Amino acid sequence: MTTSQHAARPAHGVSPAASVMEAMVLMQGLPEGCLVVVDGNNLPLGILTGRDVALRVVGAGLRASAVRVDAVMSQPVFTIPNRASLEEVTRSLKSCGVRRLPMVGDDGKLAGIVTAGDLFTVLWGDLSLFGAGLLADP
Amino acid sequence: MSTSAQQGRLVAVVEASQSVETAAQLLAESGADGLVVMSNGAPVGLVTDHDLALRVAGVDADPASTLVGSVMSEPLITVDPGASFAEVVKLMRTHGIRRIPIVKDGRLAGMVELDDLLITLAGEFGDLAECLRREISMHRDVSGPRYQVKMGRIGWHPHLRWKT
Repeated sequence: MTTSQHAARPAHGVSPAASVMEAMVLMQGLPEGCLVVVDGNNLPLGILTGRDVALRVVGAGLRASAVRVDAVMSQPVFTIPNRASLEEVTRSLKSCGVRRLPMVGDDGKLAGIVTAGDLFTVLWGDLSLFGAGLLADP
Repeated sequence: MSTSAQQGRLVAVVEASQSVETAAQLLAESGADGLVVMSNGAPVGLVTDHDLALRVAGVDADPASTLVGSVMSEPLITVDPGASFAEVVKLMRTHGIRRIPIVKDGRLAGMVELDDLLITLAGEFGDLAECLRREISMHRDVSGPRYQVKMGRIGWHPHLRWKT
């Protein structure tokens, strides 16, 4: 089982030169709650979460249209190969202290994103199957 | 900002009449990702870092002159201190929320968050797994195969055999 098959979702990239306002318009309705900041070759440069924007833009009293994404994004961005196993993703989420990990292909380009919530949902599905197995053979 | 530790986590609060700039600073100071919004001593809404990003930065509003009351999520969903685990989970699922303030006699008494519930649940699962592990060791034999569930993958475990 690989994460790209079971727990990953498409990632949404944003240019480092975009304004934070443009980025937040892009982020509306995205379940992963973040944007991956990528260069022109789709290589991850950073990650922009709602918390980054709340604390570094709103908390600083700044208008979002006047702030570039790369001025407030979180760096370095932790990534994980899109062929990583669930155990590897879980370990990385824990060791990096993050809830979301962008996934990259062999070429280093952004290939998706996995969140702690998605991972939990996959594990929960397996646990439910396990529970059904216990009920069937108590 | 005041805090309450009667139930669950410490609760960070902000007044509805304060600016979103102040709210963001309170989020930074407290380390919380959400604030309970108070008005006249009563909890009236909730505002998260995500709300501030989308509802303030997303519309290019001025953080100093935008009031918390205009961007908070309302009506506030609350539970009383006696609510069961199942009731809280059902409310979170129904409303698509991760945190619910605990209110007693109209006053803020704490906060319950999905993360806390998950940690509690993980402990219960650990206890359950220990029961199963003990049962398995009691019946361990060399006569039949058994599978092992490891982090969401069902894998072959050649050393563990099951008495039939």
